[in-house]
Amino acid sequence: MMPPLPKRLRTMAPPGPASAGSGSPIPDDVLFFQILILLPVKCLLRLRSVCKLWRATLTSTHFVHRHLEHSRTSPSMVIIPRKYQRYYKNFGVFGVSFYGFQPGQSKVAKLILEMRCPGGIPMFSIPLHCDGLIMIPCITSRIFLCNPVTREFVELPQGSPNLADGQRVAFGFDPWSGKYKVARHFLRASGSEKETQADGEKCMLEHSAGHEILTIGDGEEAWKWKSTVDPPYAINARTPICMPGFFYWSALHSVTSNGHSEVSSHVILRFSLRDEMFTVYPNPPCRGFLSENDMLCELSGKLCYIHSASPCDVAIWLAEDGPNLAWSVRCRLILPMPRQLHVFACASGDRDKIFLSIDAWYLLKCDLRNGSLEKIIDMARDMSYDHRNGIKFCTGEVSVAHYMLPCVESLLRIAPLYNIER
Amino acid sequence: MASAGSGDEKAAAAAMITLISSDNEKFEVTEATATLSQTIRHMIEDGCTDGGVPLPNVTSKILARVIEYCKKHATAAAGEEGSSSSFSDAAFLEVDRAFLEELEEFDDAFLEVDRATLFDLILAANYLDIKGLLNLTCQKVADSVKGKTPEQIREMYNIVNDLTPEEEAEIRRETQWAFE
Repeated sequence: MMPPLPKRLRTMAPPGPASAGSGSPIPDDVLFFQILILLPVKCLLRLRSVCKLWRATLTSTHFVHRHLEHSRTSPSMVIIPRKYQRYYKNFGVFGVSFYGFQPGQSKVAKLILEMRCPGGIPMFSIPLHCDGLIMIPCITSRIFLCNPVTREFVELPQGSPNLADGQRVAFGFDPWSGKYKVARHFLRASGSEKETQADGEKCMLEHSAGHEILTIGDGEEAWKWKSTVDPPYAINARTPICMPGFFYWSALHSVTSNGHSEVSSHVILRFSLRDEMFTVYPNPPCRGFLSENDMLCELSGKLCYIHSASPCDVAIWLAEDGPNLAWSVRCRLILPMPRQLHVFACASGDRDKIFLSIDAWYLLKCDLRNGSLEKIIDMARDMSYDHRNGIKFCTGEVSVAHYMLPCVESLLRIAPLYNIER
Repeated sequence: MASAGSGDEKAAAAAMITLISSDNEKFEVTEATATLSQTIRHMIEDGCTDGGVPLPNVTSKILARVIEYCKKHATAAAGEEGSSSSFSDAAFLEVDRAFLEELEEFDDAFLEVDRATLFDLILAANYLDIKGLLNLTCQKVADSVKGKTPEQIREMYNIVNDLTPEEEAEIRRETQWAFE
């Protein structure tokens, strides 16, 4: 991130005459960094063709960062609907569509970008967002990264082969290197000779958990998967939580048998982008394992655990920052409709209120101070997806996950300036 | 804000600062009004305001408008600080809302100026480091730029297009949809 300009120096100096490059009566510093940073991305892309100075400035890293800082003050919501595909191993989806949505203000989600890929893409799981870039992790080893407002859509290079069914990918910003990074876990074979038993029946390969990272952007080291140390425990196939500098994964610590059933014990692994090491933390005290009805989320920079003991009961736990994760209950609530799978939480513009998405279907707003819930929208029945070309549709009862991401508009480029080999 | 003790409050409220425009006109303003400008706040902190603050980049016409803005917004700031304990929450919110509406109306009316004046106000707000005024005036200009084509912008800002036709075509090709 760019350090802020030393204000006092800047403002005490009398403004110079308008620069020769632009004939504007406003100094370039003010024109670009006070005025033009307020504009939406689409407008800025168009204004790159005003003159050489504007093109150079509007594409500069400094401008892109200042624009992003301003965008962060007005986050919006992006909805990515995805049809449920029972036979997802054999059939993919046509592509991916991004819709802008203002919760509570409108029941219309307006198309930002529809990306149809020749031959389709494999089924994808929960998308991740960082600074205007959205990552689409597919069930197979393919991963896409998209900036919907600049319409850049890039497929990442293939990582190491993965034995597991379904991959999980983390994506976020590393403040120490100033780069955006992707992390991926995979299961590698470590005993291929055991593949077939004497009787010819296939048995499970012996495997171990691997972990690798990739840096987005320019430079020699970018766009290559690089192995890190192996995670100390096998990572669960659950979406990680990505915060600046750290990725949090759920991992399987142990399985114990109590006679008639097996009990899994989970831990939380923190991967630091600074030293590329893992730290192990216990699961929150409410449950020893991340059940399929529980969810790890992020709320205003804190790790959040949504514990759902029964279909209508939800407790929101938050972890305090620090060397250890100190968990405490922030809020308990009763859902107005039972969840089938799980509840996902994300921040709203208001510090005391959060959005809850039940089964990626119902959207509620929750007041953390008293646990009261306000119904925003039933995304299946009432959300109107507007394609901006006269076509609008409701998904109705068709099985669709309406993935919801808090998002900002940014000019960030994904692909490096030179062509990457694919 | 400038003084914590109650005894000093009257003195601080009464403290006057003299601002001197580029055409040598003198303006007497309260310290509360003047310190909306970070530039002047620093000067006061450094104790270099005796004999007036010369502002060689701001004309009397513009300085008068800037002071008008600061007076209004300084009252707003003082109101926010003073009233929080003396009203019940609901009453406070009511007063707050009415005041904010009034302030918004003031800002809208304040921006009803020609382009040259708007630019001069931006330069003054930037030089004096008055965040609220700078945001307000810059947003006004940004709104006027929003829907414009590159040609219209060049005309508005007197900019010569030094891109080659090939370069211009390339930018258009990369982001054709942004021009539609």
